[in-house]
Amino acid sequence: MNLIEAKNLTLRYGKKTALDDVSVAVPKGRVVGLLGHNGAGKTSLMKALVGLLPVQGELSVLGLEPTKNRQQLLTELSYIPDVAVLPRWARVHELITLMSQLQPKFSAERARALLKRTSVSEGDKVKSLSKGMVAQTHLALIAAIDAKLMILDEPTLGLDVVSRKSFYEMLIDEWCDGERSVLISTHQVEEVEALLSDVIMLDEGRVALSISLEDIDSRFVALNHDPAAADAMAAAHPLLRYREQGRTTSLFDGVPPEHITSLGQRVRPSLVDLFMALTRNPALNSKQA
Amino acid sequence: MTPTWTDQAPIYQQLADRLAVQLLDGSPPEGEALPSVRALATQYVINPLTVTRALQALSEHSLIETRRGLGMYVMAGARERLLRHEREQFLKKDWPALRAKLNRLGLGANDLNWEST
Amino acid sequence: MNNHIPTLLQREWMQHKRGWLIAAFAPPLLFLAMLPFGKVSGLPMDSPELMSVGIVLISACAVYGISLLVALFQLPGLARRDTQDRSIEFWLSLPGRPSESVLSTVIAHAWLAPLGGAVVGVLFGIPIAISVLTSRADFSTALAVNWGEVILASSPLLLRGLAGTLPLMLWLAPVIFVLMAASSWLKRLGTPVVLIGGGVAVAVLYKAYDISWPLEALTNLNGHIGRTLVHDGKSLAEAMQSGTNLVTWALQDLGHTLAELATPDFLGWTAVAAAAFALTVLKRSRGG
Repeated sequence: MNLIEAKNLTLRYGKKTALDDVSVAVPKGRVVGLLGHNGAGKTSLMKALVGLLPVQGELSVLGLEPTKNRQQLLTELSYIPDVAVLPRWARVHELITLMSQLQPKFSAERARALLKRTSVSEGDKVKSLSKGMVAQTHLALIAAIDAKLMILDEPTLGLDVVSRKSFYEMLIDEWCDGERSVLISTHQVEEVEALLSDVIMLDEGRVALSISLEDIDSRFVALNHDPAAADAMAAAHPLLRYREQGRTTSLFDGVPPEHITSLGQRVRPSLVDLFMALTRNPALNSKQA
Repeated sequence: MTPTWTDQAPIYQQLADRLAVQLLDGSPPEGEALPSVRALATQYVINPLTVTRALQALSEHSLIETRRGLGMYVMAGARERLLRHEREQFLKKDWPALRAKLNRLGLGANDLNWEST
Repeated sequence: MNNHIPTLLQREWMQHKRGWLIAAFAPPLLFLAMLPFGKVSGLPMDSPELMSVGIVLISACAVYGISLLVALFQLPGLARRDTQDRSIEFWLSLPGRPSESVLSTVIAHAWLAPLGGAVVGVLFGIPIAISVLTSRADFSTALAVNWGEVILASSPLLLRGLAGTLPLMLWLAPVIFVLMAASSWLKRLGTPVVLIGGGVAVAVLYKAYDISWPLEALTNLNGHIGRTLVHDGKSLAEAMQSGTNLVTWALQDLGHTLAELATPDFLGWTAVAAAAFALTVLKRSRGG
């Protein structure tokens, strides 16, 4: 059974369509990257998955209907909506106490062990912590929940490189046991690319791409070629072309004809490039329109 | 940060190549076990599924084998096979390009320093 | 499903204990500090025991009243408390219903904290009584008082008050929840709109259109509220003077208060409270 099964999810706010016929399926044992520009619908999708936003369509998370069984669902998954929302008045040990009583799968011992790796002590008031330390604390608290599904909305925002690396290592070491799945949205596409097993790209509320990283290697062809071959390449309608240090790379969806592939050297289509090719950047949109 | 991955080949292939280089250096030596998928994944900060694919690639080249319940082990003769493969690659691909460059620069074998530091 | 109210009550204590302790301890401490400088009048001088009972009761009522007033002032703002620092998203990401959260806030601030204050008031009542007696007469008179008897004599009335806090909460509920709902939906304008706007509307309806039922309903509510801790003050005074058993009086008086809960008035106001509660919970469940 898939941990997340979503079919034709649609969500409208007045004139704006936050989610437009979104269908995704997340089996167990996966690390799924949710990519999209600001306003593409990532947060709306995540809120719908945890039952915070009612949506049209069929949705089943851990076998439950999120809006109907929200309280039960919340005991079985862990969710970070934002790493800057810890109650500012609380001391860290108070948060540990409250969470152990609210979240049955939370382990205070584990939280304390994870906090030891940071510079945050239990007696600290959240108010006195820097943004990065608040994020580290929130991550430590969430990582102490023994959940089957982790839904993380930009969990590494505000963290420095060392803390991010530490988080990714923990993610791999603790959560990639083949049984749990993680859905993580992030802007640092290059950094997380190697961690992911699957990727979902949202573009203005629609799913632009939903594919495993393994299939990306076989489906998309990126050819690195001399500028001279540019016209020939263009004729074959690549998704995207970009220049780097004097060489141009053309990205194709599907294998282009033989005479095209022989013109260049095949390289790995990076996730960032694919993302740029398949989604419309709202910032660029206004310039191109 | 962890060694960055280039765009030359799929990540699993790059990992397989790196592991192969280590095998050539005798780490781990033939007959010994490789680190677990989980350990490798954490070390390289890569998804374990990608690690599995890399190990599979090495296995297809008869460099490592699965021993039931014990994990992946370096096969006997792996180093030899690897060395042969790498030599072939060098002679077929890398050397012609290097030779062309040497010719272009007008360098001969005597101009080169053959002592390894 | 699990009941999260005990944990949420604990959260209120963690976040607000400083304010509660100050509201409870400051008044009696201040009073004790000012005693040497002032004069206390209006207490039955003939019997030290009776005066001590009076002081204990007044002390309890005073601290209770102050804590309750503080709570009523703060509750509308508390409806928006988690929205202001965005921690509402944190709470909503954990198990715990928004309804339990709103209920816990009201129970903790309007009911439990003032009761705690009353206890502090009772405890301080004794040293205050000792001080007053010492200043009026002398220390030996103060020591001579049978404090056990004082506590015993105060008990029926203290317990009557304690029991009365529950109906008091029920009658205050519409006021509290309407203000909280207004505050969560209209933000800073909430309380002014309800109090001023509501007040103006009721007055206009009455004066200009001769529609008196809103004004009457509010006046009645006020009356009900006033009769929860003590239903009939006059009968209390008579009972104390005639030396009647206060336990009997307390039970009868409580009975009268509870009887007011079985009226259409109560049902009507409870419906108002329920609607306002639902609105407050709705806002919270949407992330404030």
